[in-house]
Amino acid sequence: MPINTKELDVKLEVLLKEVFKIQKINLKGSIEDISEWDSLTHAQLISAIEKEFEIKIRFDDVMIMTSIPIIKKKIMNYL
Amino acid sequence: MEKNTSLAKHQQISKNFKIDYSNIRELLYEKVKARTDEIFLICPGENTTEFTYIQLKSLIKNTYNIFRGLELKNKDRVGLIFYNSPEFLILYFSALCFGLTVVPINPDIASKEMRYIINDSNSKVIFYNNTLESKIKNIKNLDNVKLKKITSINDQEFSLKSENSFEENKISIYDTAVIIYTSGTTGNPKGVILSHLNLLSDSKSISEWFHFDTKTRTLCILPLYHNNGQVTTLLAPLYQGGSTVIVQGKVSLLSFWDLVNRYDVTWTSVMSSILSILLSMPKERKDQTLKAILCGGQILTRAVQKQFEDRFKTPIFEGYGLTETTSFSCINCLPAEKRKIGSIGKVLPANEMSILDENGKDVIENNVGEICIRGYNVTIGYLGLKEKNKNSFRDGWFHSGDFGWKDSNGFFYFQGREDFLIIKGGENIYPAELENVLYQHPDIVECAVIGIPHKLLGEDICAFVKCKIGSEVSETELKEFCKNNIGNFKQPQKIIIINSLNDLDDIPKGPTKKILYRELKKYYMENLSDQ
Repeated sequence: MPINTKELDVKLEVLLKEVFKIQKINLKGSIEDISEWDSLTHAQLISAIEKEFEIKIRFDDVMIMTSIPIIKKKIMNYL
Repeated sequence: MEKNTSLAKHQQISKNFKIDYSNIRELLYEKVKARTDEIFLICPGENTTEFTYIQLKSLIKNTYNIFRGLELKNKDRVGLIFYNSPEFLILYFSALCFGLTVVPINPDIASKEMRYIINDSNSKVIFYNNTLESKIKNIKNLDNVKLKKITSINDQEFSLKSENSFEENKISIYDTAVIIYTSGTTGNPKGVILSHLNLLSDSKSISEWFHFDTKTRTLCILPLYHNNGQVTTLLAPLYQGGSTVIVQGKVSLLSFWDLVNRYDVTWTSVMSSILSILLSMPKERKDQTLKAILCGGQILTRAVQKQFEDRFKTPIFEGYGLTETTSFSCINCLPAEKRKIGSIGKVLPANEMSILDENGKDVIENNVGEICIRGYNVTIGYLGLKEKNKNSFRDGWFHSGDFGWKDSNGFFYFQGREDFLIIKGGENIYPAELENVLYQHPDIVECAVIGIPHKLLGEDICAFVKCKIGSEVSETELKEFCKNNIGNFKQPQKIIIINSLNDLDDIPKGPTKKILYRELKKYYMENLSDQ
């Protein structure tokens, strides 16, 4: 399913806010600076991305999707 | 081992236990000789990095150049602020071999907390990962401390060859190897001093308990800035010439079974909350190599253990230990049929354990008392805390503050603690740590922090606060305030503003005005737990 970066940003922002249960999200943020991003929410985030974008993320990628820019890049690669 | 003269009373045991090496460097170099081109460390990632024993030794020697360039000398202390990574591993082993003391610092704590640890430990140089730069820049008032950013071990400075003629620094088995900071009842973390003897004795005990050998490959998903990850899944396999797969725990749970499968992992060590999270995921086991899982640090319920073992067909060995005992001091028995489910196991060879009453007398079997430990894996004490040391290390025992009992077959059982320590996903948090932060908010008059049940993490954090009359501060604003002042994992899940409750006017207190945490928890469970 092709998607442009703007659509991806919008969808991802909704999803991130829902998983981290926060109202504001910095789309340049990473696991180091988003306090809600822990082992549990990381797993929830990957599952939510797989569902939302109908993709299956390889386990090597799961481990390096540690910032929102990387996540965006990886999703684009899968789509 | 050298003569016992440097051992405190609470580090001595009456049974025979031989340590084969005089420091971590000697252990590592012996293994390099025996296992030269075999793989020791695997760090999966975008560019998976593997190190053979000899490659690690070569990198260690190169890293000495960096230490010398920073004018570091034998016994100086260095802080390492890294998640599990090749950079942490190289610096950790290099520092231990050079004769430095490593102070591992959790990258998830706030800048203020980092400053406390750096100053308290008197660290001369702080090595940190470049991704943490903004946090490090916020650490103010660091006098005479050098900050050294590390981007990657592929940087040129790690490849500069060291002079072969260089004479290694002398390291005694009693020298301090690491200082690990653990939660403190008053709010400030306590530095637990661990010697080479502590690390060697505990890793030897664990590796022999589970019959580790050169084919043993552990998976390290617990953070290396804590004791469990460092000892159980890094030093214990090293002791027998095995290997280990090191990953960043935060991002590895979804990949857990894939990692086990891809790298032929035979053992791992986890917190019980990790077992719950793995149970909640639709991923199934594919490997045929995993022999068992070691579990400690949190209470493991029989239900979780049974569900996990039934579904994933791997035994879980529950154990017990603290940072003060290097890692484990007792573990359930191998083979799996010999375990007593619900028990934290039997005493390891490196230490002795007893259940004592308030007068320091042995409690009879099956009766509850304080779990006390002594032995080679017990710390000499807390850094610079005279009073705390007097209280915790007395009459030849380390008094853990944990309560439990022993049965007639020598199996120990854990009951709980008296000081309201919260264990969230394996991280220890004392109420005072968050209370001290909340009290800095101008609208808060009084507060109390308790642990509340969490299905997967075991416990989460709830703060009750009483605000000034007329205050309009919201839960969201208070949470934001906490975010700026305390580490990520110590953030409260809920902040309950007492002023808005109809049936609670005040934080419950006893006659001496001591907060009644149990009463508060009871109130929460009866009135708010489903919110």
